[in-house]
Amino acid sequence: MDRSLASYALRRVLQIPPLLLGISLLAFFIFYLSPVNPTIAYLGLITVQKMTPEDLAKVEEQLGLDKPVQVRYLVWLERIVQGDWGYSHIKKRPVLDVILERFPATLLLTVTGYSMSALLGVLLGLLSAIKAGSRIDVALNGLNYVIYSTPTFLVALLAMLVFAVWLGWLPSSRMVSVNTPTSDWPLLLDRIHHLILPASVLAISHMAVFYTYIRSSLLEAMQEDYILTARAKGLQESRVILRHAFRNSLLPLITQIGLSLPLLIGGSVVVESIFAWPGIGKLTYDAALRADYMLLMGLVLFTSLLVILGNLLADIAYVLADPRVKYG
Amino acid sequence: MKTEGIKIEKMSPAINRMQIFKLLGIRYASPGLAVIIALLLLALLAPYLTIYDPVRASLSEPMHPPSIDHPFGTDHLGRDLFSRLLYGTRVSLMVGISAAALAVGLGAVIGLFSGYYGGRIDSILMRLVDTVYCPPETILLMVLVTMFTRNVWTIILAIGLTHWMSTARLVRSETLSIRQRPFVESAVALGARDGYILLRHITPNLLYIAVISVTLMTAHAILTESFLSFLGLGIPPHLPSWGNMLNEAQRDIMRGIWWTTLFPGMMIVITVLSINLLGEDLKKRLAPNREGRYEL
Amino acid sequence: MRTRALLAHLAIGLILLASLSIADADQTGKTISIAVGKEPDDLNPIANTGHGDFYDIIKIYSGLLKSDENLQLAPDLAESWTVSPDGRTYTFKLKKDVKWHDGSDFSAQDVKYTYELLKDGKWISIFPVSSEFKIIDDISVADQDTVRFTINEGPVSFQERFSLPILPKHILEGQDLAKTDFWQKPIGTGPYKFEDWKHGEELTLIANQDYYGEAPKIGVLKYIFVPDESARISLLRSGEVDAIKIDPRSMKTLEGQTGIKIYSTPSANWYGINLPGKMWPFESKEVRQAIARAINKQQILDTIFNGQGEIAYGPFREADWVYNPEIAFPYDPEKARQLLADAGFEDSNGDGVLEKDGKNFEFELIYPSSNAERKDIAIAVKTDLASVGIKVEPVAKSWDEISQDLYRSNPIVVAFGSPFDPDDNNYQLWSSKFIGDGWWNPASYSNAEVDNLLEEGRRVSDKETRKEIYGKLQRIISDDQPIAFIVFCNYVYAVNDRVTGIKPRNGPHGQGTNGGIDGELWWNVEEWQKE
Repeated sequence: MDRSLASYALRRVLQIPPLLLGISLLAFFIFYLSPVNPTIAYLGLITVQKMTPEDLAKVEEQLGLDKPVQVRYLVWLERIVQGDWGYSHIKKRPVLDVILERFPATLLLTVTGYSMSALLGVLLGLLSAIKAGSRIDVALNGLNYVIYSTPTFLVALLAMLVFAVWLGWLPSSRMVSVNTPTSDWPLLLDRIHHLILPASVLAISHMAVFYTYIRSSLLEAMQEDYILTARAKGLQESRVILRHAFRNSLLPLITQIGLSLPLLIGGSVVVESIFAWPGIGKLTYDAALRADYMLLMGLVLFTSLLVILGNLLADIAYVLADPRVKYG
Repeated sequence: MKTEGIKIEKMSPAINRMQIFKLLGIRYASPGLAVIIALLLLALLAPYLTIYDPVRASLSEPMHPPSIDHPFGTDHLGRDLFSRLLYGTRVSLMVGISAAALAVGLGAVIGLFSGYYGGRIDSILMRLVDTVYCPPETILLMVLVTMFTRNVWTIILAIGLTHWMSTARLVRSETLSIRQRPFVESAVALGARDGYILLRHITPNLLYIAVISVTLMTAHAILTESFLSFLGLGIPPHLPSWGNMLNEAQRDIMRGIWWTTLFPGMMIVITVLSINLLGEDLKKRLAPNREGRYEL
Repeated sequence: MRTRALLAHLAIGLILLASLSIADADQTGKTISIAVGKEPDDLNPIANTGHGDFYDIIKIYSGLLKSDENLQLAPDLAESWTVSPDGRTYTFKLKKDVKWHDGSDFSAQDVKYTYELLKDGKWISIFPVSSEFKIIDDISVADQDTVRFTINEGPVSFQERFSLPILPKHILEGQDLAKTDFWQKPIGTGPYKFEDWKHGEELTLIANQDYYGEAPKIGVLKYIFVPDESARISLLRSGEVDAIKIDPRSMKTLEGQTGIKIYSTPSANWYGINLPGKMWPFESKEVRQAIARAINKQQILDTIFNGQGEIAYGPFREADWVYNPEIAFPYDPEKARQLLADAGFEDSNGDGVLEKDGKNFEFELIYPSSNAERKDIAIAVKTDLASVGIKVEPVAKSWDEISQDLYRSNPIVVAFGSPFDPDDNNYQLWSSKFIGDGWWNPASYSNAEVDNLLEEGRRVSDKETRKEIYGKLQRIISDDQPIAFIVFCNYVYAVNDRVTGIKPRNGPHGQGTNGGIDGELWWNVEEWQKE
C-alpha cells in the first residue's frame, strides 16, 4: 500500500516540472512584452538615472539585453530562482518582498471565506436535499441561482451598505482598526471584527458550487440501492441521508475544493479591493491600475506556484481519503 | 421502479406548464429565453427608446430621483439613467456574447485538434491548457487588461483569452469518444480525409456542447466585464456600461442616492440570471444523460 | 503622629504627582489619525516643484523659515535674519541647542550642506527645484549659528525659498542619495520624529520632546492611507480617524453630523483645459476664446464642486492682492459660435460638428483616471462644447501613462495654482523660457509682452507696481486663454470637533480631493490638541 502511495505521489510530482516550465515561459513572456526598460524594471528608475553609462552597460550585459531571447530567458530564470524578481515601481521595493509581505493577509481572508463558503453550501445543500421538492428547497434553489448570477462586487457593496453604513455594526475597510489594540484579546476581537464582512461576502458569493454539488449528489445517491436498504430497515429519513448518502458525497468534495484552488487565490481580488484588505488581491489591482509589470509578473508566478502546490496536495489528499481509488 | 415513479410525480407541475404552452402553440418555452429576447430587443432598439443622450451631461439636473421626466432618475452629472441603462445593455451584451464566442471558438478548435490528432499535438496543447489554467483567472485577466490599451475590443479579447480552457478540455474528451465510434472508424477505413471527417462527422456532434458552452460562457463574460469596469479596468469610464455605472454609484450611496446603484445592479442580475436559466434548460434538453453535467 | 502626618502628606504629594503625569500623559498619550488618499513614494521633503515647502513640510523636518497662518515669513530654525539693503545678502542667526532626532547637534554646517546640495544641481532628479537655487552665489558659515547667503539677481520672492527643509550632513554626506534608504526612515529637526511606515497602510510619527519650539501636545501622529473616499468617511464617522479631506459633494453626507466639523477653505488650485498652442486648431486665439466662453463654468462649480470655490478667468482668485476684476467675461455660447464662425468654421454637412479646411473640429480630451473631479469636468466640457459644434472625446489615462510629453501635446484637464507670490507657478506656466521644460508651460504659450511682464514682476519689489504689472498680465492671459480656465475649488475637510488648534489657510495646488500628508489643513498639526 505504502509503496503504491509513494510511487503515485512521485509520479504526480514528476508531472510538475513541465508545468513549471510552462509557467515560467508565461511569466517571462509578460516580462518580455512589457514596455518597461528591463534595467529600470530590475533596479528602479531613480537608481538607473544616477548610474554612470559604464555601470549601466555593465548591468545591461549582466541582464543579457543584447543577447537573443533564449539567453535572456535563461538569465531571467536564473535571477528568479535566486529570488530576484525585479523591482516594483509602485511600492518602491523588490517584488518578491512585497508579495510575501502581503500574502498572509490573503491567506487569512480566503481560507476563512472559503471554509465558510463550503460549510454554508454543504449545510444548505443538505437541507435542500432532505426537503427535496418542498418550498424550502425551491426557495433555496432560487436564492442560490440569484446569488450565482450576482457579481461578487455587488454582493460586497450591498453587504457594506447594510452592515457598515446603515447599521454600523461592522467596519467597511482594512484588516485592523486604526488604533490597533495592543493586548491579545482585544486585538483578536478587532481582527475578527474586520474579517467578518469580507469573509462573509466571499462565502456567500461562492457557495453556489458547493450547494449545487451536494444537493444533486445527495439526490442521486438517494436513488441508490443501499439507501433503499437503509429505508427498508426503517431508519429515519434524515439519518439515512446523513449517515449514508452524505458520507459518500464528501469525497468528491475534495476534488471540488481542489478545482476551486485558483479561485481561492485569485477570487479575492474584488473583495480585497473593495474592503481595502491588504492582501495580494488588492496588490494585483494596484499593479494593474498603475501598470506595474514586474509586480504583475511576480504575482502570476507566485499564484501559479501556489495553485500547482495546492493541486498536488489536493490530489494526494483525495487519494489518501478514498481507499477505493487505485493509484493509477 | 418505485423511486422513479415518485420522481415523475414530483415533476408534474412542470409538465402542466408545458401542456399550457403546447396549447398556445409555443413549442419551446423558457422564462430565461423570454427575458433574453426582451433584453436583446431593448439593446437593439435603444436609440429609438431613449430621449436623452446617455453620454450627455446635464449639470442643471444632477441626482434627481426617479420621476416622470427621468423614470430611473439621473446620476451625479445629470445624465438620464434609463438611457444609460439601455445603452449599457448594448455594451454588456455585445461584450458578453463576443467574448463567449471567442472563448468557445478558440477552445473548441484547440480541443478538436487535440482530441482528433492525439499524440504529440495533444500533449503540447494540453500542456498549454494546464499552464494557462494555473494562474488564477482574475490575475491573468488583470495582466492582459494592463498590456492592451483599454477599449471594447481589447476587453473582449482579454476575456476570450482567459476562458477558453474549459471548453478545450470538454471538446477534447468529447472528440476522443466520438473518434472511436464505428461510423468514424469506417470513414477512416474508407480513406476519407481528415478535414472531411472533422467537418462532416465530428463537428456536428459537438454542436450541442458549443451551444450550451456559449450560453453559459456569456453569463460569465458579462459578470467578468462588469467587475472589470467596476474596478476601472474595463470599458472606458465615460461610456455607459453597468459596471461603470456602479463604479460611479459607490459614492452616491453615502449621499443617500440609491437609484444609481439599484437599477444597474438589477440589470446585471436579471440578465445573467436569465442566461443561466437558459443555459441550464439547454443542458437538460440537449445533454440530459451526461455524467458530471454540473461541470459543463 | 508626625510620622502619620508625614506619610499622609507624602501620599497626597504622590497622588498629586501621579495625577499630574496622568494629565500630561493624557495629552502626550493621545493620538491624532489623519486619513489621506495619496501616499507619498518616500519621505523626501524636497520633492515638490514650486514653493511647496513654503506651505508646510513633512513634520519630520524644519527649515530656516516657515510660513505662518497668513502665509507670511516666520522664523523657524532661524531665530532672526537680516537682509542687506541691496537685497543680495541674507544673514541668518540660528537658534541654539537644536538637536537632530538622533541626538546630534544641529549647526550651520547642516544648512550649508543642504543648500549646496541643491545649488550643485547634481541631485536634480531627487530635488527637482534645484535649478532655483543656482542663483545663490555663496554660502558662508560665520560661526556655529550664523549662515550668510549671497545671491545673484533673483526674483523678489526668493525669500520664500529659505523655507527649504534642512537635511542632516552627518548622515547624508558622502552617501548616494539615490540609493540611500534615508528617505524611507528619515531624521530631521522637526516637531515629530519618524517612528514607523507600513507601506500602503500608515505612517506613524511621534512627538519630538526635544523640539526647539513648543513641543507638540499630541504624542502620536498617524497618517492612514485610504484612497477610497467613502472608506475615509466611514473611518471618520466611526471615530477611528480625526481628520479627512473630502470631495465637496460629500459635504451633504456629513453636514449636521454630531461630533464632526466641516471646513471649506479657499485654495489657489484652479482647473482648466490645456489647449496646446502648437496643435490645430488651438493656434487661433478666437478658437480658444470661443472654447472659454462655451463652457458653463457656473454649472460646473455648482454641480461638480458643490458651489465651493469660484469661477476662474485667469490664474488669480478674487481675494488675491493682484487680482484684476476687469478680466471676467460671462458664459456666452452665442458669442462662442460667432467667434468660431469668424475663425472660418462651419457645419457644411449638417452633422452637428463644425469643419474647416475639410477637417472636423474634434479632439480627445485626456483626464487622469484617478481624479474623479477632472473626469467630471471632462464630461461636462464635452457636453458644453457639443452645443457649439465641437466634438470632444474624453480619454482616461493613469498618471503613470501621462508623460510630460503627453501633457504638452494634448488637450488635458489640468490643474495648477499657488497661494504664494504671484510669480510662483505663473512664471513657469506662461514664460516662453519654459516651453518643453517638464510639466511647465504645457500650452507652449509664447507672448513677448507676457515674457517681459513676468521678468519685470519678479524683480520689482514695490507692491503697487507689481500689482499693475500682474494686472496687465492677467488681461493678456485672460484674453488669450492658452489654458481655458474653469474654476478655483475650495478644499473641504471634515474633522472631529474635539480637535482644536486648526487654522485654515489658502491652500496650494496639491492632491485634489484625495489629500496628502502635506499641503493640507493639517499644516500646523503640531499645534493641535484633542479633548
